[in-house]
Amino acid sequence: MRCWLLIGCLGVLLPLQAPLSQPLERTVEVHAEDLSVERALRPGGEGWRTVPREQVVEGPAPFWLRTRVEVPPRAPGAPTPVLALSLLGSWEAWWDGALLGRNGHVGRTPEEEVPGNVDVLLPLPPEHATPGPHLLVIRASAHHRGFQPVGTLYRLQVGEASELARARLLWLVPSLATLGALVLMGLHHLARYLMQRRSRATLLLGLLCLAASALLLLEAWRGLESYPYPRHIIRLWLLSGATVAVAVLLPATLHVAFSEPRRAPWWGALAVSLLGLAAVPGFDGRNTVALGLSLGVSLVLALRARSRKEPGAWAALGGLGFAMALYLMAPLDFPERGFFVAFGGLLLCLGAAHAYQLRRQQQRLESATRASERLQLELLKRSIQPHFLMNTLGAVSEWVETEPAQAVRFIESLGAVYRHLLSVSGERAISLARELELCRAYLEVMGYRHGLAFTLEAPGVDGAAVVPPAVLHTLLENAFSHNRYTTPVSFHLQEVREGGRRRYVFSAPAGKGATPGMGEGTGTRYLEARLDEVFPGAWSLKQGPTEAGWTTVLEVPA
Amino acid sequence: MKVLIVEDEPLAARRLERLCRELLGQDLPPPLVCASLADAREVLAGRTVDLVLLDLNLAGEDGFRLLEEVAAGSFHTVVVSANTDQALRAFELGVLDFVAKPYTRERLEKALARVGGRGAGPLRTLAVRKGGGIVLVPLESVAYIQGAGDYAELVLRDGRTELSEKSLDRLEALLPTDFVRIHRSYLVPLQDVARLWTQEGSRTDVELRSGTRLPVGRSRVKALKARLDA
Repeated sequence: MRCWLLIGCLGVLLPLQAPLSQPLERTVEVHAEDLSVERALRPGGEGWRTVPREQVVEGPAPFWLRTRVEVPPRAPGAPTPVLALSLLGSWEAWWDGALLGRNGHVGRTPEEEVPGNVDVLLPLPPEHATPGPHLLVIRASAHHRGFQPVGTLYRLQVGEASELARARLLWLVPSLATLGALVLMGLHHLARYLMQRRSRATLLLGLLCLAASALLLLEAWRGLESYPYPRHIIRLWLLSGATVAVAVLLPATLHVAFSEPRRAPWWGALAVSLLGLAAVPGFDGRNTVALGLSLGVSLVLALRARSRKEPGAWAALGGLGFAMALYLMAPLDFPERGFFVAFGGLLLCLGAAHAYQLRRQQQRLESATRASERLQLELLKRSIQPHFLMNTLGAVSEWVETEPAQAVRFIESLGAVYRHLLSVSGERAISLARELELCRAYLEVMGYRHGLAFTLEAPGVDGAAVVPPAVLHTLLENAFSHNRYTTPVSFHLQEVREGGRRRYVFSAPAGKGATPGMGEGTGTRYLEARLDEVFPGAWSLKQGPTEAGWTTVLEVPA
Repeated sequence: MKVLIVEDEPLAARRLERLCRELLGQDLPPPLVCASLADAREVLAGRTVDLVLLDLNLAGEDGFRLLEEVAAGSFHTVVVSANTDQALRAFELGVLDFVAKPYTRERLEKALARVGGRGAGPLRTLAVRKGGGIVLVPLESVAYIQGAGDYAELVLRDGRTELSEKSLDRLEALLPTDFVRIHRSYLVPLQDVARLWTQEGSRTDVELRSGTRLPVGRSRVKALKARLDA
């Protein structure tokens, strides 16, 4: 399958975007007081705490931070390396005791502070860029963060500028490619939803694609544009929103696409998950947990669909398994790095499963239409079958020669039968009142032919009830082809309503020379096909001989 | 000519009865009418009926069996039916004519006229009653047919014989023209005639390919010679 090839390619790209970082010291020293520059730059000193690099949470007031940074060895003549520093705040930095650069303006109050950018590249002075350890000291303030992050130091790395840029590009390109594909897929599904049959699964799949692309775009945004750190919180909120949207839409899409029979437990799971999420600290943690939960729940949904043998469940299961594997490999990095591969593949699989489902639906619809047309043809064909038509014309011949006035009356009632047949034959369902009209016209014709009065009594039936066309007509025809009536006959139709269902009991008296047994004739096949068309799976038809003749019991939903 | 109408629809029966009376003349006995073949069996067993006008639903398996039963009878059968798709099969089994409904008076007249003449269709088999059932004897297997009173004996090429309830006259009407009446009591297939023997006293015999010799009726010699020379 093509989508697996694509997923394979994405899988190859994933290792390429591993960061080109050199392992630096994983800890930093922080000092919460706003020391003077001289005191801060002096080695040793009181009040410095050692914390893991990911857990720098000082601020918002000015604080100090110092660490040893390893400059990697390089070939002679290679360009001077640069320092890549991502710290949520404004700062100024000293490199081996000399001022290296500033990012915004550190201030004691929000007014005094000028916000710096989140991601900054600083060229190192050539004379201080010798390979080996160097001392980096930073004074920072963060009055405009707007939230208390788990850690504010995102990145601290020394490397060659071109290599750092390449790493960023390698990270960006595949996710932007996936982004483009997802946007197109999303718009495609939305357009299908708007233009063709309104399937909720199509709509949800489109929205899921767009939410995933929003998530990708927001993830990639930091690599696309350098923005001042106060805006970081906005991006994080948007990112969270997109993540929750993806996390909710994914199982919802599967729920609808695979017609999951149960509903309440899933709403419950959603509510519990959202409440649980609120308790998870930190944006990244929340996003990770949300996506993990979503994948887990979706996997359960897909497995249930598989056990119900829903078409396309295999594809969904494959995509989800792939995404889940990537998630489990590195849960914390997943929202930033595994996500685009996993969701690119997953959404492709879901798209394929959905297309397959739509095709099946289309086929079912087409075959239903064909069956409907066949039934219409069958009904019309039956109305011109020789036994009825030629015998009727024979009767006309006799009257024309003996009683022309009777012939005219007969032709009139024959015309009525055909008018009714023509008007109902194209319909899937008609009102019982119209059906009764057709039957009475038919009985009039048969009455003329037999020289007897045939009646159909249907006391108290609901004329507005819906039945497939020519149901009673078929039963009457059967009665006439299996009985030779020599005395006036009255057919009966009774209606019983109970528990949201209508039961019709049709009884045809036995005539002379009755040949019981109409089990699997063309008439019965027609009835069954028509009933299944209008009340799929919800009807029953039983018939058999009784003392009085032949009784048919038909049960349909009210 | 005694006519029996087998017709289950009153109006259609009325039409057949009326037209038969008009066509056959008022002096003949009026046609009998039965609504089903079952009702008619007793009448037919009396062997007094010359012609049955049959309208039954000939569609389906039952239709074939019904036709075979009728074809094995001593009487001529004219089928009057709405189901024309069974016409060929009916002719092959040995009905005299097949009148499709609706029909005109003229069409029925033509059918009635065949009773004294030739059948309208290609007969392929002769239906004979045997041991409670009906056996269909293919015409190719018939060596010659010998009259036996009101019945006729089919002498087959393998020497076996079958008894047909139809008289030689009625069989002659149904059989194709290459079956020639050479004698009051014999019908032979023309292509089987090997030669003619002229005996003393101007008696003539026919020798069949199988070696069987059969007498030729004095009045029929000339016509037979003409057929053989043609």
